[in-house]
Amino acid sequence: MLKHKEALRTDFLWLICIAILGCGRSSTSTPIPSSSTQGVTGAAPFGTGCQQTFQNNWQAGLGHVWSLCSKWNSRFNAVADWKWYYNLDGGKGWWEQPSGYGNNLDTVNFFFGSTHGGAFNGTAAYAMWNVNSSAKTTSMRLGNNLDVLSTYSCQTLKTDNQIVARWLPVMAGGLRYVTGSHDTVYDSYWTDGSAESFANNMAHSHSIRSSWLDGLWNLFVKNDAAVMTVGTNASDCFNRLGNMTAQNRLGFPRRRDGAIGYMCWTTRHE
Amino acid sequence: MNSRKNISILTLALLSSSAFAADFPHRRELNARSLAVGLGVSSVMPLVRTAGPGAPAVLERFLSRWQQSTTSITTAGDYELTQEDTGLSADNDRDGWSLKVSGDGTAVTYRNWAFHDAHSVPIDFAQRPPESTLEAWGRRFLDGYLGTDVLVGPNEQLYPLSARYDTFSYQPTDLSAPAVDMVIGNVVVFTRAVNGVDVVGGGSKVAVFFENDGTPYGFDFDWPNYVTPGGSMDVLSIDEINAQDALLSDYQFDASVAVDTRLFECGYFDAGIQFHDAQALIQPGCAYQRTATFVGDPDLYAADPTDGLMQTGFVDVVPAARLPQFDQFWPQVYYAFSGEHLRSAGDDPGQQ
Repeated sequence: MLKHKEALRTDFLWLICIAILGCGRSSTSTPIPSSSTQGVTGAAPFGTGCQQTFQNNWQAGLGHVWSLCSKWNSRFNAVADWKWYYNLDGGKGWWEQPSGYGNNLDTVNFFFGSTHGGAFNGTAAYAMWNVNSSAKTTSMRLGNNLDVLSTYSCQTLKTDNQIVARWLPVMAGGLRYVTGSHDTVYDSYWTDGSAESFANNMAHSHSIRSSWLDGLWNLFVKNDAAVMTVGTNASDCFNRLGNMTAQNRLGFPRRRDGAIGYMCWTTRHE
Repeated sequence: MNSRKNISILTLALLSSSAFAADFPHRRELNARSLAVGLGVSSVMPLVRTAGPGAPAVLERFLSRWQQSTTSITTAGDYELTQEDTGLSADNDRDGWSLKVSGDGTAVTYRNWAFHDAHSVPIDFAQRPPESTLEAWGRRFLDGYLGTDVLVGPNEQLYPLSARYDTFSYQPTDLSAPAVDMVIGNVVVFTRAVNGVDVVGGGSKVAVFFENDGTPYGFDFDWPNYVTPGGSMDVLSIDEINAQDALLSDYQFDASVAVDTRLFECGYFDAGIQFHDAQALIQPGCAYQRTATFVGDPDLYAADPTDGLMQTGFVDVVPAARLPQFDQFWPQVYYAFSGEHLRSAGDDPGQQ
């Protein structure tokens, strides 16, 4: 990391150094603190779950998910504490029923996933590797440990008149923040750095909303990025949605069950 | 192979006009023309993307330009420098701005994150700035802030391409009131045509980010200078382009999958500096941005054929030159020459 001060603005040695000598790769990072019901302190733990191919081709293969998720892991590990990374073979269990699995979505503070997604009638769904298996949001209650659920999957935050029904069961457990898509996110060579960019933005303490919208932004491919959270009222929801960062999230109390009066979301909309 | 041909047929049938809701007329015309005739010319002169002055020089130029600025576009205060594989970044995390210069210096990204977070005052969605206003704001910004960087040559044209709106919506969880939709930010994107042929892809694009009152808080551009090294390349017809798509697409679906083409644009394909092969020409190509919809839950789908469906988005850029030249960072060209799919590193992590 190269720290540069105002007084040194006219000193171009650093540019020469970078241009000629290389000076090695560095990443600016603001460490992300942990929260845990077990009282563990230090960097926030994160887990990753992704799927590129599907059993018996029950879903179309995605060509770039492994690279998308590997890049996320590499960048976010500079500011948080990587705990695990799995494919989604048998994933329904550890997505929907956290208590039955040693490593599940609610054992970490941040989770990132990528697979096919859908907005079913009354629930959002994520495709698992196994034939006809999907994890459904109406079967997921998160927030004992998990703070931010991020998925690069289509449609799971679709903004129709069922978004509350789809997501209130998940948020009722105290989950602080969700990032996803209200329509389409693209699998491509030109977008496999999206999650890495999201991680980089969060490492700089930018709001989770701006980090996600900007991470998925692309001058070529029209990714439809969306984020969501909850609040006691609309104002509380607005404040949490726009101002929460990976670093300050612990200052936003978990809202559970009856404490949730409103849900709110931001999309980058055509 | 049959399934690949199905994609092309469905592509033509299912191009969604509603997907262009916030696109400017130029993009709608580009899509319509591309669907009908591809590039619409029999040959083009290939281009070369002239190397920029380098990321360090451009970064320093931009840092100096707005060092004293007290507006929303500023580089005042301390910052951290980062060298990445793709370029150089200066980040002022305390005041909340970031500046990144990519590759050879022909692409720049700036955000004043803190300003936007503090000034993103919601307005009713119906009161959002219309596309014509965003275009005017954008042109004013290009003239005032990027006049020496986003240059339009004598055989080039600048067009507004698309507008996007960042929304804020809320709804009580007891559903006692419908969701309220508001706007908290705006983006306008411009593109360039060279010799009357549009540049498609991430190259030759400039985006400007605005608050609802027209205050800019960020921009992106990938804006090289192009030269013509001589010679010409014969261009495929639209039927031949679709045939190439069937051969080179990264994705295969069976006939049960509904494919919807959201965007289809033919022109010079410049993916942008991040994906540019310095040894390659800027050649003609056609970019498909498509979605595929398929059954994700057979039981729900059986009960209601509008339920239980999942979606994915995928992108292919088919070379439209009759004799394309090799480009190591263009997946479909790479596949055509090597028989191998172009992938970044990453492996199956295994099962829990």
